[in-house]
Amino acid sequence: MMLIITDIPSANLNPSDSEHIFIENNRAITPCRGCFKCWVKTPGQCPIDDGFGNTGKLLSECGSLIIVSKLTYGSFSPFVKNVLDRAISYVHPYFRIINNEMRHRLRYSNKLSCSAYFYTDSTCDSLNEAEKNTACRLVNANCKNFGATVNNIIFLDSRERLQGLSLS
Amino acid sequence: MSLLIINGSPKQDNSSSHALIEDFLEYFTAGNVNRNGFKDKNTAILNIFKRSDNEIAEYKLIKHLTQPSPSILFVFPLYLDGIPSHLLSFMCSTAEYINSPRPISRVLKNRQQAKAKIYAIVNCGFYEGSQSGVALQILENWARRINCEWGGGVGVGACGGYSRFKSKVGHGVKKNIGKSLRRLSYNIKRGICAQNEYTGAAFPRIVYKSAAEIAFAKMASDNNVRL
Repeated sequence: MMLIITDIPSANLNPSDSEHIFIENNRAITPCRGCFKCWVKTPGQCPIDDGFGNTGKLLSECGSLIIVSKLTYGSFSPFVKNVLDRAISYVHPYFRIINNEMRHRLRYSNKLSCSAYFYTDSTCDSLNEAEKNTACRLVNANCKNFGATVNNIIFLDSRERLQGLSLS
Repeated sequence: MSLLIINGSPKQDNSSSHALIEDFLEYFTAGNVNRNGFKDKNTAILNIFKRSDNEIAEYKLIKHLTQPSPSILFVFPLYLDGIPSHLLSFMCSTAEYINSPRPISRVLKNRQQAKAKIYAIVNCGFYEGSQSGVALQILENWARRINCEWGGGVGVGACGGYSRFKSKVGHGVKKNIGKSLRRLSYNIKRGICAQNEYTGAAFPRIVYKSAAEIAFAKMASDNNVRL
């Protein structure tokens, strides 16, 4: 199954997997409070009751994660980042050391592959190159944390380019 | 030179970010300022943990950018290798305002004075402060987008429970952190742009890992949850 986190309407997207779930920006979302309750009180579930608290659980049921986001200074957009911040329940609070770096232990046994589609505008190209490099670093770092493999990181010069594109 | 500190923690109190701001100010407002030194009234702290305060915070930040030689210091926790979404949202709306066709935007774009300098301290729950590198790069990209200079940042590792560390900054487990905050303070006072640096609490990684896991286990046990 495929989980797609997107900041544009899902009707404009074309996932390659017929079994998929969308998390899209269709209602108010609360930022992560840093309370750690998704680790120590309701493991696997964020306690904030706004409909966006089960991303960690959804990730555990998927084989691939697709992120569709506006390129925002080299980061995901605030909505997408908000969803991901609230998904740290996907990992365990305890740590492991991978390549001499501390990371969180994995909670679930599924293996994720991750693709990120960033759209941008064509202004300030020289700035965008730096932001693209930052975005690649970010996706790679997130995948290390989630124990995921990086499948694709694709940059598009407008959101219209996403229409008709098969997401995989 | 005036400094605006933005506390990017989502917590109202007892946060590592707040504790780091206090430790930074130990150096920034220390008695041994030089003749170009700094006065307390030229420093302000903005908290953005309440969304309802963001519009006022945006206004204060933009107003600060019109001051002579302004500096801004962001202090925030590392969230999933990047910037917490509430702070990112604040940065986006501020940049949108600055880059819009408003009189204030023309003032900022046409400034003949020195550009504002943006600095940062990132507190990282992992042991390695270097894991803050991507977050600092995101902030640097934002600084360029609003026509400001990137002054440099400090990534501080092993910050889980920082507000409960008993050492005074510059001593004990905070010895190395103190050195980095002192250098950052020096750079901000003189408007120097420097490379990012990475530091952390001065105890072995295995000790930090064990202490953090014991703390999580205790929190879970208090909630009758087994990790």
